[in-house]
Amino acid sequence: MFSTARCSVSGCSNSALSGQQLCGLHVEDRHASKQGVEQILDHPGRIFGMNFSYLDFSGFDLSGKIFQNCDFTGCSFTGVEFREATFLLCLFPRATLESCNFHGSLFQNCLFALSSLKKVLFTNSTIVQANFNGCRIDECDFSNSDLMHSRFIGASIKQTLMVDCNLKRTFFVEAVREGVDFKYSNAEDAVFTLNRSESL
Amino acid sequence: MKLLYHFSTSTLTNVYVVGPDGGGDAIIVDPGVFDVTLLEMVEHEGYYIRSILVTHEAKSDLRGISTILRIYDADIYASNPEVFEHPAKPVAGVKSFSASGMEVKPIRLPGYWSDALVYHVGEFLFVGKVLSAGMLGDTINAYSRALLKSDLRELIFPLPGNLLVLPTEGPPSTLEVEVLTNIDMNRTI
Repeated sequence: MFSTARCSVSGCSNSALSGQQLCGLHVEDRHASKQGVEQILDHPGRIFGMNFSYLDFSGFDLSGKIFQNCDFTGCSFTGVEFREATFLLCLFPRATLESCNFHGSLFQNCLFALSSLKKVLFTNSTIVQANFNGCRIDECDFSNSDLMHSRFIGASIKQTLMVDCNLKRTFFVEAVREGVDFKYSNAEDAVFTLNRSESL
Repeated sequence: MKLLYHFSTSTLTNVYVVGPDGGGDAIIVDPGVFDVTLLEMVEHEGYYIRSILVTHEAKSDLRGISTILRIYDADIYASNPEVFEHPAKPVAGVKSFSASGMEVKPIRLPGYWSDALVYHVGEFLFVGKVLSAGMLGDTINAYSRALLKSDLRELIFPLPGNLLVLPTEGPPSTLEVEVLTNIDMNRTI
């Protein structure tokens, strides 16, 4: 983790895609199927330390895959199946996710900050120490999930279900919440305001 | 360069290990624990813990040091020449040093704590408890907080935005994300 080879385009500071000389912004076709990604994804075990930044994974079925230290910065995911997938320290900042299904997945120490999530299912998942700060979250469903120690600081969360979730030390400080349903969840254990104990 | 992390459910803190691809000498950062799971992870990668980086001398974040020193012949790097009775190499004043064959740049942030260091290693920024995904760490008073914010603006935030911010507590972040979303940095006090 994470690829240190730089994109060969002059002046570009992005990391090159795994196994390539260009970054995801400079390849001719951003769809992952055109960049040899399927060969990597066919790997039966853990997929470690790959850089997929700015690729478009729309239409892929990545159910049951195990990703560790993979970089999905700025990626597009539309209609992607991720059922029962595992993500360990994976990065999704500035990603766009729409109509994706992460039902029964495991996320540990993952970064989604500044991403846009619409109609994404995270039901029955374990999402521990995930960073959703500054995200735009619309019509998503996190129900029956463990969101312990995850952060939604400054996020915009609208028409989203968080029913029967574990919200122990889940931070919603300065988040805009409209139509967020915390039914049966331990919202009293979540953090909505910061109380600094220090004094002048 | 490979990054391993371990989230301890007993201390609710993160421990990070950085080493070369293919095994060899490695760095461990703020070992709040060094349990069997972490030991197996290190051994599985073929790593030998040769260096221990300490961001701040807090007992709860360093409980694993004694265990590590029983297993590995490791050097401790910290602000002060001693960390809980273990000799350490003081690095607060140096621009960079080599640990386990990797270049490490220590950055002093006395606003958080007098001995606080952030370590810049490759594309990783080990921030200890100074930053924690959208927030600053707790400081002893508002003056310290103001000083810390000033230090962060001057010394940390100008670094490349794609650096991965790895805190002792809380999820990972990037420097760009912190610049844009850290609520404490955008407050007057």
